[in-house]
Amino acid sequence: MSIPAAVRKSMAGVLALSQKALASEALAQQPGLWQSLHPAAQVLVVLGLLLAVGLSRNLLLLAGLGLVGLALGWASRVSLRLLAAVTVGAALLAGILALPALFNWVRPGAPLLFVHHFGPPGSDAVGLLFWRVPAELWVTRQGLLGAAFLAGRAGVSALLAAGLVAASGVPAFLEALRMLRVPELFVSVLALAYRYIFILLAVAQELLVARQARTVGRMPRKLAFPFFFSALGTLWLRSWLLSEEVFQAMLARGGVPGQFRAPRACAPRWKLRDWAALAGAVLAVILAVAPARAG
Amino acid sequence: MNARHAVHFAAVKAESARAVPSCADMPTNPAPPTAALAPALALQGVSYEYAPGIPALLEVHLEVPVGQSLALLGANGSGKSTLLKILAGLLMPTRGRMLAWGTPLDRRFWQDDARASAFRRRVGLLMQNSDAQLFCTTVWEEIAFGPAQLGLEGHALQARVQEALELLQIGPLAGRSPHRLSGGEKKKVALAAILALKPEILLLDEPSTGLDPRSQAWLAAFLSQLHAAGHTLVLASHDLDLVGKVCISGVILGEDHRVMASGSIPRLLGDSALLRQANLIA
Repeated sequence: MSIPAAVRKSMAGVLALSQKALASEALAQQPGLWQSLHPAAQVLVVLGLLLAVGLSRNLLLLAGLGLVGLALGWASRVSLRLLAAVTVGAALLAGILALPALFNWVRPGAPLLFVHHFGPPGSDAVGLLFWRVPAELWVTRQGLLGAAFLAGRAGVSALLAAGLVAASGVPAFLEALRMLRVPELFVSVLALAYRYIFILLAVAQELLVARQARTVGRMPRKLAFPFFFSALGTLWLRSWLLSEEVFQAMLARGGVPGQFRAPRACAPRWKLRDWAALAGAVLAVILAVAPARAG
Repeated sequence: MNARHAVHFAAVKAESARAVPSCADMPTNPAPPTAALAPALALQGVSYEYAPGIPALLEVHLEVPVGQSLALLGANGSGKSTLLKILAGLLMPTRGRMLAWGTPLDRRFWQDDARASAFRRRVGLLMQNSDAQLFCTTVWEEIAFGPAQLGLEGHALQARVQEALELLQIGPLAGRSPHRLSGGEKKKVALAAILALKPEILLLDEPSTGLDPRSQAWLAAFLSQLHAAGHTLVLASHDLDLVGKVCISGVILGEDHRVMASGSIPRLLGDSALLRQANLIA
């Protein structure tokens, strides 16, 4: 693949991401249970639920958290197809990674399902590359449980992160960071990056399309490299000019360099549902930790 | 209220909802006593070079009286945007000097944050590139940015933003991100962001660029109302139709970056030979 082709593909991917970001913002504007929560409560509840998922040593609790995520997503108008896709996708990926750990060769444990006997009958062990492994291959109970936990945690985490973050929207997330006393410089940099990343990507895409429109046939590799680097240079120049203009726009509205004040609305008060959601997340963490202590 | 009165009231309300909102609700900041004596802004022999030997403006003399509605006309690259940025105090002239309400705006002036801030409060700039002007994550934050720099917080800030949102009739956009807005909506938000500062002078760089005909008509009516409400306007534009509707006097910048002509708008726009020479008509 030539460099421009690779870049084109990457750009298409990132532009698709920008479309998703727009869709997420549209979703965050709609009325829904999750959208009605205080921004700081949204962040704390997601963190609490993710912590509970990470600490959970009980498959039933994991399943319960998954159901809570699904119910919250449904009540917040998140597409159930999206939730199912990210949950199954993440669980499958984690399951594939955990596949070797199912067997007694990787994770010894109580035999659950006999698979095969390698080597001559009666032999206890066989050579596998540099290692000696048991001749009998079993799926173990511990391996199956471990894989199920890994896949379940990945799936439920993806469900909570993708679903609830999609319904929150970036502006609410940034507002929550401010309310949680994250340093303003960090939040402002994040906000500016979010505001301009898609504009710069669109400029980059336009550069590529303009070049492509004037290219007949396949671009020779020796021309592809100079084009790639000149496009990078042009993009850098444009972003620099844009940053100059943005700085001037800030000054023109009364900003003093180094002392810009972030506009803060009257902080919305925490309502009963915010406290209830937070209490639910804390309860989930307690339930996730409790069996481990008991054990 | 009987049925007949109720119908009449509803009709008046509907008519006023269709009309451009009044600017009387957005009073400007009080002007100092000397304001009536000196022009609001003045340039004396101003030149500007982006790099040595590359002039953007040459020997410009200009006065913007208080309450004036002045057009800056000129071809692409004649220096209109540079001139507006100098008037907004964003660029320092390479030669010559600028005065605001009789006070020279030199380097010492800009080193004093309090005086610079007071100037910014009184002079608002609408940039040509709305994407540069709108740098916050939501429309609400965008409009609140300027007043927040003035120290407004809490309910006072909320009220100021609400006032600007209602004036431009963009309340439903408050929670949206600027990159989800159309060109016309971005222009309205940018105007609201400036008007939230309640400036006396509005500097507008190609305000009608990228607007559809309905939005252009709205903009012309809105700017006329701002002028009628007492704002001083300086409008850089190619759009002779907009200039004819909004401005009283004008200055034409030539392609040699010097002032070519100045005078009343009817006189300037009626001189086809002059407009052709300035590359404003074909």
